[in-house]
Amino acid sequence: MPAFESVVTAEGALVSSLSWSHTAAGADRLGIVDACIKPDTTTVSSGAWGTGNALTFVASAVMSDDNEMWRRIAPPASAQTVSLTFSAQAEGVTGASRNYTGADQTTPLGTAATATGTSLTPSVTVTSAAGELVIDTSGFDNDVLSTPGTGQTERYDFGGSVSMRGSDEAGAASVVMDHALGGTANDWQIVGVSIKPVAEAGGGPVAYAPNRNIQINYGGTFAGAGRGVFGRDRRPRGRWGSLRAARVI
Amino acid sequence: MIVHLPSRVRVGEVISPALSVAATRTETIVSFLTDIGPADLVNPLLSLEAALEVSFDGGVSWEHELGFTWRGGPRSPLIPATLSPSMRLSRARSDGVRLPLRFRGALVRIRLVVPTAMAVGASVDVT
Repeated sequence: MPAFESVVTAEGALVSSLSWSHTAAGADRLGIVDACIKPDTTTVSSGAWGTGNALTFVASAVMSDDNEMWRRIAPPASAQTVSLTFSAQAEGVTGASRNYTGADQTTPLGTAATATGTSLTPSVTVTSAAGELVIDTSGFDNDVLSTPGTGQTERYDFGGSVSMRGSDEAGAASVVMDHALGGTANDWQIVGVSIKPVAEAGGGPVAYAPNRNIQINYGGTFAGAGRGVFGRDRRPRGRWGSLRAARVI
Repeated sequence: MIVHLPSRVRVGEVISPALSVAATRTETIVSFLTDIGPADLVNPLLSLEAALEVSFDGGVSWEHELGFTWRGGPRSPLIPATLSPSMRLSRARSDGVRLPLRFRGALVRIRLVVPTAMAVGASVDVT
């Protein structure tokens, strides 16, 4: 399952760009950059994780503020400048960069889910799967402390004129990401998405050893294992899946 | 500990003297511009870049630690007329942040790039 490695947070007022240093580490890295911007008409126009490493937009949720999530596959494992450029001057902005390890390096994220509302309980339901890791970012139009929902691990929680929090939770078929906010009910936004784990080695020749098990993992919702005969497995009759990887175990 | 760049009319690249961070934990770094006049704050022809740079080798080489750009222009009536641009890099209320131990014994300085002459100062507060 993908794992959290590090986070850096930054906050600005009356700025048209923000930048900060982040040193990522680990294997199969996935950089996640979150921003919450006031006013909601100001957006992130571009971002980067180091020179030449442009960020890719993931999703946004807009209410009183603009809450955005961006990603970068394999950010360099060295001190790099994470930068965000805004479409106009931001009255207030929070930014956070997170590094996760063990992420798929081709299609690292599932389908993002977003929600907005006016209350003290931002919440969104994310489609995921066992072995994945669900992450979220949630902005609020006040600076308040919050408590993450059951099963979630909070990675940051800070702010000024706007506040932002981010967490992660082990994947399942459907995962609710939520936070309990303090203070008075106000507008909130939340973005959630599932990080897919790095694929096992496969797609090429697999070394075979006699009398060893061969495990075959499929792209579907089940896995089978055969013994001694490469390619034979225990899929139920009539069930098919695309071969993802095979290994001698 | 505060790194301060006095307010005066400035243009081009301006670099403050370097100061050494005490060998203590760093919780928060706040970088802000000072003394930009109310007329300049709403002047869309004015802009600048501000950065905090850090050196871990006694000032031989410098790395960008945090920064922002500012551009003058109309501002919301909800914003105080004299409020200056600022940026905060903080330990926040989170785990995994490496800030507390990162700056022990390092040198820090402010770098401003001011394309058009304007009165401005800057401060960085490391606590």
